[in-house]
Amino acid sequence: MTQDAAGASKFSRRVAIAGTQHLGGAIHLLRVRFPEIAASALPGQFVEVKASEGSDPLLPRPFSVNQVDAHRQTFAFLYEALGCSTRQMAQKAAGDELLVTGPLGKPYPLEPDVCDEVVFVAGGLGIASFLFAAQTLKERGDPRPVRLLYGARSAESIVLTGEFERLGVRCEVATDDGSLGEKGLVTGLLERYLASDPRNPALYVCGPAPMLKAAAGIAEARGARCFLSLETYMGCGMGVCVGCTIKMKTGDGPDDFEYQRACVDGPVVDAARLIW
Amino acid sequence: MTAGRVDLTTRIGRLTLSNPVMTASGTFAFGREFAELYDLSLLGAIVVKGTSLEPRRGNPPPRIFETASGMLNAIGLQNDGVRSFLDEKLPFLRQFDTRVIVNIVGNRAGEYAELARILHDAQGVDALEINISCPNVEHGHAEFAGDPSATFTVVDAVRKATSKPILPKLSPNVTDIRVFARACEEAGADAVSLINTLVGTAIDIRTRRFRLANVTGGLSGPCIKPVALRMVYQTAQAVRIPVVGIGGIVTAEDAVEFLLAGATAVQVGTGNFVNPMAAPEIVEGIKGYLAERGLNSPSDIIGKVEKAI
Ligand SMILES: Cc1cc2nc3c(=O)[nH]c(=O)nc-3n(C[C@H](O)[C@H](O)[C@H](O)COP(=O)(O)OP(=O)(O)OC[C@H]3O[C@@H](n4cnc5c(N)ncnc54)[C@H](O)[C@@H]3O)c2cc1C
Ligand SMILES: Cc1cc2nc3c(=O)[nH]c(=O)nc-3n(C[C@H](O)[C@H](O)[C@H](O)COP(=O)(O)O)c2cc1C
Ligand code: FES
Repeated sequence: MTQDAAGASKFSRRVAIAGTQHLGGAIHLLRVRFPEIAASALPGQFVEVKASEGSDPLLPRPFSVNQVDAHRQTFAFLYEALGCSTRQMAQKAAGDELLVTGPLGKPYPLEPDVCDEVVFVAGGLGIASFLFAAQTLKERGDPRPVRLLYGARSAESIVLTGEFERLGVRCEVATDDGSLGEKGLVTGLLERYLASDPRNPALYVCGPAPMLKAAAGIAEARGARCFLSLETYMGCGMGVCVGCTIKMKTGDGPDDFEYQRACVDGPVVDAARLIW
Repeated sequence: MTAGRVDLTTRIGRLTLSNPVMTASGTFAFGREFAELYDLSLLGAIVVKGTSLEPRRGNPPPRIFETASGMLNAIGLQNDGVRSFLDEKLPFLRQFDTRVIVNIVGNRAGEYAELARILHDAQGVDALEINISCPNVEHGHAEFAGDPSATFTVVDAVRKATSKPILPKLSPNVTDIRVFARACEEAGADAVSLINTLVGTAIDIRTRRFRLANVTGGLSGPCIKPVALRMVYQTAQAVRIPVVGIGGIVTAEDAVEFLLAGATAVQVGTGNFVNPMAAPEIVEGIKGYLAERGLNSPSDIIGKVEKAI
């Protein structure tokens, strides 16, 4: 183990909101000025955000980095104003402050040797982390084809597809009610895609747990590499409380597992090692 | 501002700290993660995660749940054991100019003594905090923390195994915490730390299931502060050894309340999750509080609370 000297690689402070944008339904984009995080975050990583001043709610919440501006001064995250913190966020305006900590967690493995086709599979707000991933691949001049399979309840919950298309990502959409794209689930899009015998794809999946589980099952059946971004309930978000544990295989026996921390050993995990 | 004249040096018996702010066991792991945020030398001391003789896998998830102004946890003392602490964690901590206090946990008095003997020989371990109060493991609470004579037995066994300063950590889940503090004092403890978490639970009414796999968990955070403050106040009146105050400290104002109630030093626990910079901000905040009042030292306010009327 390396005895790395003390040096900041994570950052935490109160920062001003640089801008907000309502994207549809209860979905908002919130941009903050935080150059250190904007400069060092990688796709799949998240930040912890505390919107309240006091103790209601007490703990910060994890949000994926959604995009970083070209000058790497600000970054944005996407949220749906449904819970306690996210409803408080929706009341805020440019100039108001948030307590932000990051960048946190393991990024998506996007290196060229992982696969020949990059496939993002998003369910609902699971879309949040993929725009930054697509941006990053583009910036790196990665020549591989990138595809987005994206499902949500209805048309108003489908956001940012224009941005993906501008980055050259091939988008396919499904909605539960058929109000946009195909009527059905994103797993249907995934089944069809894998049935077309794509050349060495890797799936990067983010969304609600049942969808992750279904996608992992489909990937396994088809022998496709699959990485899941888990939305595990978190305490500290930075590896110290051991409250966010997930069960990961260490071998093939029934007792060959260990509890790992979703916040530092994840949130991105190899689906083949996760024990549900 | 006369902030330059304030000297935060704090003495807990034989243990001298650069300031009265420590981080609480289980909320700071072994320092590595927070070292990526700030210089750990800013802290008076670091109390590391509860460490046992053998590794422990901990409880199944879900292990934590947020409640009104607090949180429940049932981690189950997941840790890699004392050998791993000495080989892999301690060398990293030793680079910093702070004190390292090891929180030890066992199933029997003999295990605590064995841990104390092993740690006694370790360079860079400044003191031991004896966790007899963890509510989330089978033997933790009922046997030692719920019975003053068992508390005495454990502290006495550790006292005989090491000359390093020892700080038993007391459970609030008892009728009168002073009885336990006195048992620790009699057994030769250098100070007492209080409080550990309060046992609680929470239920999801949609699924009709408990929120924690362990059913019960330890409640921490601002919601327990009034209870902790009362217990620190009572204990400081009841024993001559120093009291280290713990429970719901998130800001410097919270910490100052504990000092006024009679704590010689404080620990920040859940506050590290609420605001990762809480501990160093509290150090600065205490300094500011003293400076504004023309005071030079935390000892000028320890126990200086007065009746409302
Ligand atoms: C690594 C990681 C990355 C994440 N990234 C994102 C992200 O980019 N964007 C994002 O929005 N979330 C993200 N999440 C999830 C987010 O952190 C949680 O949803 C968080 O609990 C929201 O905080 P809250 O206080 O608003 O909700 P809480 O009050 O904590 O509520 C918990 C959950 O219940 C839901 N909920 C609450 N009330 C209602 C209701 N009345 N009806 C229906 N549902 C309800 C909320 O949506 C929330 O998901 C991420 C989680 C993880 C672990
Ligand atoms: C996630 C978590 C893990 C903890 N682990 C330990 C532990 O290993 N040993 C211990 O003595 N106390 C442990 N505690 C208790 C804290 O050290 C502290 O006594 C308690 O949380 C009250 O302080 P707070 O309100 O500032 O958090 C833990 C608390 C939390 C929240
Ligand atoms: S959330 Fe605390 S260790 Fe993962």
